[in-house]
Amino acid sequence: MAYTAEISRNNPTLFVFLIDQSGSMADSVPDSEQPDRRKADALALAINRLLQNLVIRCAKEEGVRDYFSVCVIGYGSKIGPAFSGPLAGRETVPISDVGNMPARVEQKIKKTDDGAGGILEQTIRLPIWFDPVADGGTPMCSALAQAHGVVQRWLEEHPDCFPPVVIHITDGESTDGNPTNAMKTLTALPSSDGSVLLFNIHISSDGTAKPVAFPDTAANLPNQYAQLLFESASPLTYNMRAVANSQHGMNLSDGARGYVFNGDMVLVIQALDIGTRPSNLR
Amino acid sequence: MQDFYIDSFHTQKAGNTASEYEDAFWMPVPTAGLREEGMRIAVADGATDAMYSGLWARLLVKAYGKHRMTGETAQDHLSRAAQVWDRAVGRRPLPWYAEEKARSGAYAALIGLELSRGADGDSGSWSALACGDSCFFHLRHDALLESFPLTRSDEFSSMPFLLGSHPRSRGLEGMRSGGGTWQEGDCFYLMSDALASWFLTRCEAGDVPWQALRDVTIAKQPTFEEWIFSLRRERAVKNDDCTLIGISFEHC
Repeated sequence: MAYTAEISRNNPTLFVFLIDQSGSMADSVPDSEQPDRRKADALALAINRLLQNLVIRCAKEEGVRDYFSVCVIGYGSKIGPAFSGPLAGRETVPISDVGNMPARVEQKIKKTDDGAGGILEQTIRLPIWFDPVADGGTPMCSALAQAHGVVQRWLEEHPDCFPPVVIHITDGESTDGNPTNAMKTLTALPSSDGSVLLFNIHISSDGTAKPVAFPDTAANLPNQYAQLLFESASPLTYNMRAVANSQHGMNLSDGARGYVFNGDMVLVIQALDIGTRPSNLR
Repeated sequence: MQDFYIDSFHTQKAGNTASEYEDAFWMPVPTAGLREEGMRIAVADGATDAMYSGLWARLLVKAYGKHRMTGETAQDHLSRAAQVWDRAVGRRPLPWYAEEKARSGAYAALIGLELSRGADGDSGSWSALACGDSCFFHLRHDALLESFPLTRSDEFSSMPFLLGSHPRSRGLEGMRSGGGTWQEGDCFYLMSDALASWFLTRCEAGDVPWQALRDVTIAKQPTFEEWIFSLRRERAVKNDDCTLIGISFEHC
């Protein structure tokens, strides 16, 4: 059965983040609390949060276990590795290095329930790897071609890995052609456990359209960019649907695809099986 | 008074070091004998996707085995164990990721079994306390008499409900208890989930998996490590920490 390979330090898998840093990302996103919030801000928040979750999933008492490697490709005025800080310029980075080398760590105060009827104030440390960037065109096809090369090299070295996961965050408007074929050839790359998984996170300025997560049809999507990104996204694996339905209160069908419109994608990371995950862990 | 046999076996997940073993077990020294107040045996299985789960698993088996936790006292015992866990984890400054993960607490499955001898010496009672997917199996006359708390192989998943160190997700609502009697010749096996799932799968296929367990626990041919290695190679068990405790009341 596909998508059942063990993810371990001996058999790690790859995450590729493809992030849109084009000029159009300076447009605002619908946010009642932050009216001046730009798409680039939402993207930076999303990717920093995804990486934070990925590192935390691999954290054990002795450090971060290298269950994953991570590649981040930004595209806008230029295309290439997009880490900032000590990881700048590096293409594929073991998750332990990601955890230990953020550009900086910010702090904020969080109030939480202490479990005994009281409120606890905790200082939360938030690692930052990326700051918002919005500059240049949207060379999505070229960026996908670069991701294709990275994934291909990874698969040559890790032919039996859990299939690499590509998380593409964009506002959907490619300026170097229709990206459908590039997405198709990327998701055709296989390990012995299945084909590459592509997830499209779509950040839009359209305040009239409702957020959508993992739909099984393009019927209600707001525009042609949304439909293209939905059609090219991979179907969620059985395990991902099971986690979404049992732990996130969703009701996803077998046809649910890895497409999110103005929403959260952290469950994709939570749904990867690296060992027993308590169902009562919140 | 009749003798009994008890022995424990464990091995870590393939690819991990011995220090990364996150199951834990509790059993009395065999020479202590089985008296009326009850002998306590326990297996706990720390969740991989949490930190310091091995420590939490060790605290749980100690709470059950040494401090004689019951369903009624579990709240207090788990609170005390969580305090020990919090102190141990908070002893030194942690990197941001460890701090964040430690905030979620540690989680583990627990199966605890208490065996008491009756006045006649040839039989007695058992009681069990469990949360999660570590199990015990009670065998009599070459048949499976009891499977607890899970009874079917399809009940195992990678997301069991577990006992947690965090007060917000202690998991007490998932705790189950049971009881029964044993007699001369009976056998009990406690197992963490990988082996327990294998055991029930083989039973459902019409096999008698306790023959292999006897070979491993009594004859020690093959050794436990050799046996687990071959089961993993055949993909008959998932690659996970494996723990087994066998108890038999002669003639088994």
